[in-house]
Formats: sequence, structure tokens, C-alpha cells
Amino acid sequence: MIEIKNLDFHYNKKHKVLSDIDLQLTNGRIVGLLGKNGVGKSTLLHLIAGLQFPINGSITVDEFAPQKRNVAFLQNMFLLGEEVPSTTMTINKFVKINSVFYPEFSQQAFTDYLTEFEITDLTQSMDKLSFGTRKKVHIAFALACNTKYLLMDEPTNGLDIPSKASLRKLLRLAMGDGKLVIISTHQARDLQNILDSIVILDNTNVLISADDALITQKLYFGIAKGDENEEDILYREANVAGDMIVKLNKDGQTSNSDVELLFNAAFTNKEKFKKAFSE
Amino acid sequence: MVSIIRVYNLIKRDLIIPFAIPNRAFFKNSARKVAVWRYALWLPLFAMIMGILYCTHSPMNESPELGPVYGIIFAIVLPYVITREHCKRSNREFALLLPATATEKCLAFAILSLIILPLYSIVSSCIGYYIGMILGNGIFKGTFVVSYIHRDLAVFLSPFVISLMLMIISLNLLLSLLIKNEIVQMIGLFLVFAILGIFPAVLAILKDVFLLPFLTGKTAIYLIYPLISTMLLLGSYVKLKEERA
Repeated sequence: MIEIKNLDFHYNKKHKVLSDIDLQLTNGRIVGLLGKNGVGKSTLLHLIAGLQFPINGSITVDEFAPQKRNVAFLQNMFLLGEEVPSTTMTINKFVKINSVFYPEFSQQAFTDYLTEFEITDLTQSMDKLSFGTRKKVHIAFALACNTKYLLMDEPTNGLDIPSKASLRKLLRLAMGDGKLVIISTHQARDLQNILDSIVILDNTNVLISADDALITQKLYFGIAKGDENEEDILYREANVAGDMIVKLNKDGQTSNSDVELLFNAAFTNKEKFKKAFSE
Repeated sequence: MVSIIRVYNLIKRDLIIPFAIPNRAFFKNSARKVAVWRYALWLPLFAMIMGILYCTHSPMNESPELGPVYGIIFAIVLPYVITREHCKRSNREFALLLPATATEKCLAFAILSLIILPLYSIVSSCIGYYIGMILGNGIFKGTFVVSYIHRDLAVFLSPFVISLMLMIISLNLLLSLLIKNEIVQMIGLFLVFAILGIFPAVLAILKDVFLLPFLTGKTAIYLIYPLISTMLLLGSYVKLKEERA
């Protein structure tokens, strides 16, 4: 479990990035970390991974403080950054020299994941690969490391459409009960159906942190029928099939959540939104 | 507990991906500090010392005045090209989060910095000097003289230069850990270079005034400089351990 208490962080004293963050993330789920540009999503991932240190407050990952970078912690934590390192090594060499650090790494799984991404030639030099292909190699490596905690920063950036589908499939495949995957993304629709929980950051703080089940219990997503109480509607978006709406789910209707609509609803009607989840 | 296997793997890995440059971001909290500019300044300084040593220890009949200048220029370009890729933020972040303890990373770092950096330095300085000598002679005398290259190489690979270089590397590591401001670090390095410059004179005075016959150039090369290097490396290790606590 990841537990964040009263976390403050800034790069520059005048400009706080994260302020008084409280968050609890339990294992066995894929969490979507959403927020506008510059709100601190990547920074939060870096703090959880131990790449940055909290100014105030604490982060605990199981019994570990990430900033201490204990070996046992690092062996169970993988941060896949938005930019992936490029080296002059071949894929084989890259895996050989880095996989030794991760005791749960599976060569077979790595090869299978690459096959899913349609990469079969492991003798290619990493720096000769396109950004998207290099990213796929790193995603496959990250998943094959079998770490308990996997943090991914914009994993779908640079991926083509079939690869995004492959990523969704692989994430589900690689996901075990004890694992926790946190994905920071702007491309909410790319990962629409695989997110179990959503965390939305807003101006240095957490606007909402909820499971999909709770979201659909509190909110209804669907096409407007015209008989809705306007007061209950948090967001409306014109669509070819009619107006898509997010409204307070007072009648206990069932619907499937839509991450992008949820995000827009959260920022269009912040107070109503917060109130709905605090009740 | 230090795992020899992890240290070995780190060395093996970083021999291929040489992160092993004196860069506090390798160990430190944030990977914001880019080492390229410092490394690009460090080696030219090294080349400058080499140039001074070259002039003072190996006076040549046909002096290629421009040699050190070309050496310095070359010494800026080569390490930059070598380290450019490895100093990228994504690479450093990846290295920082590799599962190994601070001690293991320190050990790997120390071993690497005593192998890779001197190698880079010697190679880049040698090549730079050769180009400088050849071009210098070519420009001034119209002849491309290469006959005294072996003499030059002997200066670069002399125990004195290597011993001095190891001390400078360990000093650079400690300074980079003690002083956050990199400008002050450079000033610190300059000051130490100045002290090193008068060190032989100090030795001579101690030898004469205090009648200490064991204080010779060889003592400096084989005892005093390595001793100082060891102390500096130990100091760096202690400092790193403190920072990681």
C-alpha cells in the first residue's frame, strides 16, 4: 500500500507543486493519475519512486520510505518515465545488463510482451529504434520486471493505435492481486477501460481519489434524455448521438464511467463535484 | 551488507553506460543537475595541467606552443560527445532507481571513476595534444612533426601524472559532494591546483629545512598523493552515507 501524508513539495519556494497531499492507494488495482499540465503528476510519481524527496510530510510504500532507496524497495518499484533512455546497445544487451537488478524479471514474459508489440528482432540497436518502438521495449521491460509497484508516466505517448490496445491487454495480463500500477496520463481515453481507480490532481492538491465503483455510484454518465434536473448536471458535451452528460446519480442508475467526461465534470463544477464525493 | 554481485553488475553495466562521471545527481535527490558542462570544464582543466606539466617536465627543442590550446579544445569536444547521451535526465533517473545500495553504487562509482575517467582523460588529452602538436608545427614551421610523440606519451602515462590525476578525481568527487554551488566547486579546484603547483617547492623546503630525506618526488608519487586520494575517497564515502541516511 502507498500512504501519503501531508506531503508538500516544491522546486522553488515561491511556487509550490504539491501541498498537503493525503492519499492512500491500495494494491490490486490500476490507478489513473489525472490532472492538467504542470499540476505535479510526474513529480508525485517521482516522489513515490524515491527520485525526489518530500519537503514536508511523508510517503510510505509498504514499510519503506522511498527516499531511502532500500534495495528491497527498489527491487519492487519500477518507474517508467515519459522519456525513455536511448542507448547504443541492442535490445538483448539492454535487457541482459539491467534485468539482473530485478529478481522477479522474466525473460519469457519480456519476449512475449515484445511479440505482442510486434517486435521480434532483439538484435536491433536501441538508438536506431523510433521513439514509439523504444517505448514499447521499455514498457515490455517494465512489465517483465514483475515489480509490485509500477509507475508509468504517459505510457501511451508515442504509441500507435494497435499498440495502445496491446498495452491495455498487457497491463491486464501482467496485473496480479498484490500489484499496484499508477498511470499518469493526459490520454484518458487510451486507458479508459482498465482503470480501477482515479486520482485527479488540481492546483497542488487532490481533487478526487475514488474507485470506479464509487464514481458510478455517485455519478451517472450517459446521453441526456431531456428530463434531467439541470441542477444535477455537472457537465454536458455535445455528441453526434446527443448530449453526453455527467450528473449526480440520485436515482442509483447504472452506467459506465467515462474518464474524460469525469475529468471535465470535475473541473467545470468543482464544488458540486467535491461535495458529491464527500457525502 | 554489500553485494559483490550487485557491485559487479553495476560496474559491468556502467562500463557500457558510463554514468560514472563525477556527478552528484548520480547519487542525489533530484536529477536536475546536468553534469555535461562541468565535465566539459573539468577535462580542459585537466588538459591545462597536462600542458603545464608537459612544458615544465618535458621541455622540447621544438616547442609547439599551440599544442595545449588544441588539446584543450579537443578535450572539451570529446568528453562532451562521449557523455552527452549518458547525461540525459532519463538515463540518470533510470540509474538512480536501480536496485542497489548507496554503498554499492559508491563502490562501483569509485572503481569506475578510477578506470573510466582517467582513460577518457588520457585518451582525449593525448589525442588533443597530438593534434595540437602536429597542427602547431604545421602552422608555425610548415612541417608536420610527429617524431616526439613517444616522449609526449611518456609524460601522460608517467606515474606522477597518473597519481596526480587520481588525486584530482577524488578531490573533484568530494568537492562535488561538499559544495552545492558548482562555480564555488570550480574555484575550489583552481585553488587546489595552485597548491599542487607549489607542492614540489614545499617538499623541497621541508626536505632542506627539516632535514627530511624521505621527502622526494617518488614519495609524493607513490605515497603522499595516493594517501591523499584515499582520504578524499573515504571522505566522499562518509559524506554520501550521511546524505543517504
